[in-house]
Amino acid sequence: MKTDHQDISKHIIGTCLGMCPNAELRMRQRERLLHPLERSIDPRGGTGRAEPRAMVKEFSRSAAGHHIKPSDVRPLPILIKTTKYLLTNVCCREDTSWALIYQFVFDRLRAIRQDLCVQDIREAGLGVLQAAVRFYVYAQYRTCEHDLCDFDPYLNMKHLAETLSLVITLYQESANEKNAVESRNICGREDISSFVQCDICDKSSDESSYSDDSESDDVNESKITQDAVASEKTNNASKGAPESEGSGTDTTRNEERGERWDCDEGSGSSQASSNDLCKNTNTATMMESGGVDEEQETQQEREEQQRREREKDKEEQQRREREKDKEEQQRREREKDKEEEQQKREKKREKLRCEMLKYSPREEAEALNLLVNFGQAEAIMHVLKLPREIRESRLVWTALQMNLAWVNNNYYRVLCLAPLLPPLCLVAFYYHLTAVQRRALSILSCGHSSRGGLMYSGEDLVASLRFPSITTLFDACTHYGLNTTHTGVIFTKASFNHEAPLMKTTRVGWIDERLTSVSLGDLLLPQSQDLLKWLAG
Amino acid sequence: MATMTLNDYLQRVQGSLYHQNGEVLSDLISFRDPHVMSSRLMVEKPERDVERCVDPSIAEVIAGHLRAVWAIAERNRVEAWRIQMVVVQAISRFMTECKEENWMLPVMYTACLDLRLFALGADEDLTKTGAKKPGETLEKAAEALMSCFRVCAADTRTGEDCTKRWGLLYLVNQFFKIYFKINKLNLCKPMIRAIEALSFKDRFSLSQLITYKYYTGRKDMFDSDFKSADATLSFAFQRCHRRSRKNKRRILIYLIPVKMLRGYLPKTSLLERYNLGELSGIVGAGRTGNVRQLSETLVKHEAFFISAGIYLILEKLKVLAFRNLFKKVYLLSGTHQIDVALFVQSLSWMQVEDVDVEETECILANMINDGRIKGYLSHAHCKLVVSKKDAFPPLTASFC
Repeated sequence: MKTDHQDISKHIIGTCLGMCPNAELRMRQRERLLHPLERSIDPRGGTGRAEPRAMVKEFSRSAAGHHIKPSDVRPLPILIKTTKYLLTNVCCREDTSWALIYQFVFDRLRAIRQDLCVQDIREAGLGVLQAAVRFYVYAQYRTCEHDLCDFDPYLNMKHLAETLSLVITLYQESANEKNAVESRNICGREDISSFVQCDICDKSSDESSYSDDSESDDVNESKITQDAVASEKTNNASKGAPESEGSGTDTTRNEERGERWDCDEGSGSSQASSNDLCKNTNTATMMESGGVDEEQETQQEREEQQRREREKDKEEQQRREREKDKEEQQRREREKDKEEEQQKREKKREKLRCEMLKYSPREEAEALNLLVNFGQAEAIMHVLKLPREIRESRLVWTALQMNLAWVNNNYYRVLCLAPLLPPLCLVAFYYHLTAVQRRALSILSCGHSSRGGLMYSGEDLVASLRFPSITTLFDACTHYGLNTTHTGVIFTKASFNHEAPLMKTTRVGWIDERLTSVSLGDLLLPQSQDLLKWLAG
Repeated sequence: MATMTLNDYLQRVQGSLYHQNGEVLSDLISFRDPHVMSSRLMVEKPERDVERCVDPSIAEVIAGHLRAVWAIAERNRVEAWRIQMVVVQAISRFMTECKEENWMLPVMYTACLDLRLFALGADEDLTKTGAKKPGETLEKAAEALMSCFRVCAADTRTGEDCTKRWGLLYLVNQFFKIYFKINKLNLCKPMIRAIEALSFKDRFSLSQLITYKYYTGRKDMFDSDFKSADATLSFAFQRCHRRSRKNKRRILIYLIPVKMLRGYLPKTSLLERYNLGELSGIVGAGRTGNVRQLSETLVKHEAFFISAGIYLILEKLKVLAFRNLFKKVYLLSGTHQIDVALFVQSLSWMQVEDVDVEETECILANMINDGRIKGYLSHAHCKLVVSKKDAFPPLTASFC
């Protein structure tokens, strides 16, 4: 075991039993160094009196050589109590600005984390640390529209990342202690031995047993094209079929008409044949200016012809109407199928959303890790190595699917799954929403870019890309250089401006609504989790 | 050798020091040399004896080594690791004293290798008891190696034949092995920069170069620079000796997915020869566009892919499979204005979960954006319009 002197000094056990050490209490009151939230509210609007019970130990950097007194350090139960106070009491105050609350809680949480570190409290402090993570995630959203003086997003993110990575490490450590063997499935043992070999081998032969398969790919290509050519031939043949079908029906109709002729007028066929003869002899007769009888006959024939043509037209019309009805019916059926599928999908999603509302603390931490570090290979690889039960829990699985979809630039799936997340995780992901939307727009601008300038419906875009409204969509499009019309967007490849900076995150109605479905205190410190009885699982 | 006496050993050390024989001296402090089996060298406190016989410049190194031999005999890997850290630091001090010479580089190589191996062993022992975080011993070992690194890197004023900078590549390779193990790839960057700045970087021994290329290739993969990864890993594979099967297999595990992403598929004979059955399912699925088989293979051999760290790249191969599948749909449809519903149908036959028209359009838009399809989508008409010639350009042509 390590017996460095450093370790001994880390194991201070705090003895301060209040949220603020007595020495600091006295000093700050004397020097009037109280934060507004540590004062009682003055009804006259001036600075209220100091409220000692509301004072919380503030963060101060540990100076080199400064010996830390146990009376200045709070033990774990007090830290838990302080965290509860900060997150359920202070954060939920309605009478002061959120910026002030944020500033206060951020600083005091830092002091809490420091106390944990100084006492080398590891897994026991998981509850407190995870609560801090939730605060940073929430604050990131709530304060995203504030000025830099109120909220420094970079600093918040830095602390969020630090605390979150510590939480993940602690969960892993506590799991390791439980099953030491499982964690070692990760390393490939071949690593060591096979590379000692490599140091020894020193050969210079140029053997290439690898074949870059342009040839086999060509073979495959040619096979595919052969298949294609073959199928095209059959296709053309089948294309020819409809036409022949058409002519087929024509002949049957002719036969029908022929039959009708037979019914109506016994001499139909003979008429037909005489018709042909007449056609040939007509010219002759006309030149001869044939007799009255012949004129009468030709007039009759003409009338017959006209009648036949009218019948033909009527038949055509009826046929077209029948086809149209069939098409309508098919279309209605397809739409009904589509709607049914849509409904099925909606139901499935709703089920997923409800299932995701139940999760263990570790699952929440792993999911937050995936969402805060959205798209980062390291986070994904870490989750893939987790034990199956955690990886396949609904919440972690969804966050993983979102990341994997994003690896393949499938923005659609990412934005489909995002709204199903529980409120806090949704807020964690929201930070990346503008980046996802931006890439989506750039991909769309290339994929839907046509010379004809086709328009993409604005409403559809708003729904699939989760913009809060058409105006925000159009704002984003203009920002990135895309053309918009009254109702939609015209995508052209060259117009997307890759140099345009990412749009700033703003608060959005549908997320605000989701957040109000849970009380803030519950969001930051879920009731179901007793901080004291903390551990993995 | 295995019964060497202490005196005998120390005489040999002194002799090799006198003759500046780096190879012999490195064997004398190597744990792969039979002398470590000699019970007479397993001395817990060898300082007095060593100081008597051996030059003071190297006394600390030798004393440390003998103590480490004792620790290993006691099966105390953690203590051995601690001692070896001291040995390595002592060697770096020794090297600083010997200016304008680099005969002792083999000694440094051996000591550093042993340090890394001990750190791995100590890591196992310490994590089993839960006393330390995994990887801590390796991090500390890296710090010790840094001292040697600095000595070598700073040797800029000497001529090429006796500069200590020749030791840099070996050290960097050791660093790579540590950083890859503890998953801190970002720390590799300064190492790579140091090597690339050397004027003789191509004249190192082939084995060292291959190891270097293997790791830089893997780093490129991690950074999604597939073109560079292809070149680097191909070099490593082609120059690696035919008989080093395990190493060649190791390289292939990374080279094949990279090549596949660039459009080149390996022959089944290659996969068989190097016992890469897990990848054959992937290759087959990619070739035919069988998305379902690809997903199933990914699940079936999940553990292998995750431990090798190629799971993510193989996920990216799904795009390849989609492309081949869609090409078939296009050829079957026979026209160059294809209804998107046909693609949706093909995907649902492939049991891709829950895919609808919008998502299919998204996938198609991505393919157009990546240059794998020449054409455009019409959202309003729900059709994909492709170019009449070369709608699906060959995979090797498009960028990844």
